[in-house]
Amino acid sequence: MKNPTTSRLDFLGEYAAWLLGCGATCIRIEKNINRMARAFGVDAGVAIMPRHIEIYARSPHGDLALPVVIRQAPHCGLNFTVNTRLSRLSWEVADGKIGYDEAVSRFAEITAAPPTPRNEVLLLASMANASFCRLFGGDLTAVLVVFVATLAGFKLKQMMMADRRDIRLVFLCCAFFSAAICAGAHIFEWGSTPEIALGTSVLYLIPGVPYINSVSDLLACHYLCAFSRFVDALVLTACLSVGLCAGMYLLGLRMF
Amino acid sequence: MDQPMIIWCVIMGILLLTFVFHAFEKLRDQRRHSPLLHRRHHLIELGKEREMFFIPGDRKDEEYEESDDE
Repeated sequence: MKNPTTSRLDFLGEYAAWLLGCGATCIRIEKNINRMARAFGVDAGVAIMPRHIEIYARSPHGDLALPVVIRQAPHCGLNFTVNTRLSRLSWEVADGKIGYDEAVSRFAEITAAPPTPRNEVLLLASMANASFCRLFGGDLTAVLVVFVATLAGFKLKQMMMADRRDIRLVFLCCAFFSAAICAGAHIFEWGSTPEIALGTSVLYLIPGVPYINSVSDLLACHYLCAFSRFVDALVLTACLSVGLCAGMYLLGLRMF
Repeated sequence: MDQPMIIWCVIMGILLLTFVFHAFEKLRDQRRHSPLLHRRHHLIELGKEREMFFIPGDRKDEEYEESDDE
């Protein structure tokens, strides 16, 4: 049978891995873990790697070596609902509203919750990207074209991700097809702002969260994670740029 | 029709075909994994009268065959 501190460390390891997997910054992971560890009466420390979490504990008197828990971040994708609910859970533990057993069952409930329906995400992402087009001064035709381009590109992304295709290939293909659809506005002279439609057609693919997280990690001196997230985002941006340029080149739009 | 228009139409055709093919595959998978459709139903079937008048507890065909041999 596990001793209580080990089982608490196990729980904290799982919790931290899920936070890392769903796109939390290093500073948030550290704070949440320390908050919960204090409530559990464990003096814990966290080491955060780009894909792994290491949690270790010291006894209050420092005379007892406790085991180290290493967990791999699950591939659950960015999910701010899980992120928020896990953070709320840490506050409830810290405030003494729930105990360890209740925290474990709540954690299982949060991680087992189904993700947002795919069609809902598809529709909302398309509307958001069309709104970007309007914000940048696109006319109604451009907004409609961007909406359709995002709808098609995002659907393709969902299909390819479900088929477990390489993420870089996914970004390249989606950017290519979205750009090609919007290039239609140029070719067939739909509306008066086809260049805005083309420019905003691939904005839904920009990995904004990894970029922001890398800056946050940089400020918190987590250089390894900051660099890893930045390079990840940079590679994806390069892939979507190649897709965009390929679409433009193939359709004869020499803008550069 | 100039060249970019033809290329655009070809690209859109490929995209549409991808979606149609994927939808068809998904439908086929759903049919394959659906417990209700696990057994293929035919409009017209030739069956044995035992299948229509089987009462739980009746002996199966194999048992009949075995007893015939004896």
